[in-house]
Amino acid sequence: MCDETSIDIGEQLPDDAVIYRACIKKGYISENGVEVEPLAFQKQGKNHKDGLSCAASPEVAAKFFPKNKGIIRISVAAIRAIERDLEICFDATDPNHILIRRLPCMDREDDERELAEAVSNELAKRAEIESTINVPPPE
Amino acid sequence: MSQVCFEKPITATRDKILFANADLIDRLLRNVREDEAYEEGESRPSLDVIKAASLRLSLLPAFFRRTFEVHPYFGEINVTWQNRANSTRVKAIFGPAANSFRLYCEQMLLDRVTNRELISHATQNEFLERLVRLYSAA
Repeated sequence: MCDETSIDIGEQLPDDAVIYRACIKKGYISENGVEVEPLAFQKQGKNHKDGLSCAASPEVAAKFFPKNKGIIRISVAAIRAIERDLEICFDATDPNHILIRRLPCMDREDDERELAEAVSNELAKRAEIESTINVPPPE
Repeated sequence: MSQVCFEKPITATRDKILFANADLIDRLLRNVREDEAYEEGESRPSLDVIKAASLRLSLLPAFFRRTFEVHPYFGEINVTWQNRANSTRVKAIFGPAANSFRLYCEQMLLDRVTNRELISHATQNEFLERLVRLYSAA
């Protein structure tokens, strides 16, 4: 998989943790506002060299992306349940920054793209919506 | 309706097909032009990719021209059909190279992908066949 950088990767999170991801563009949540779309878990290798960025709380996710279009959440246990060998790790330099690692990338060979499509849909099916509208960063 | 600007002459037949599907092309362009559909610094689909997607979608039967979702994705145009009744989906991937057209087909069972296939260089016949299969699969 395409996590090219392993610098500052911390320990893995426990199963009972829940992580949050800011919707940084339209399309992470379905138009009817009830489902998470695979797009929310699709990664470009050239843009996400250390993994897919998530946060330890909705507030932190909003702080990372103040112009978010909503926030989604997923439990670490649910990510592990799909058995795709993914790792959910702390950023060693910031315990509020979580990385989903070993995700296949969308911008690589067709085999990896095919797997990336499948894994992103499996994660989307297990994710839940925290907010369908902008969550402002804490004061 | 949004204006489609072609820098090269196109055949009369293509012209007629595209003109007859002005609503579809307008919908495609609205999705592709929306700033909120892009991350900061994300590349947008080229005009050639938009033209290729417009033409292929215009050639589909009316039902399939009405039932898709469009998302631009890092220079690609991704067009998806889903059949929630049998947890299958077909995604047409146009671009980012001008002539690149791929099909991703998937079936899920209990929220797990059990069958998947990425078809490179898909033909229009394969495209239509996969869409028909999407709605006919048990």
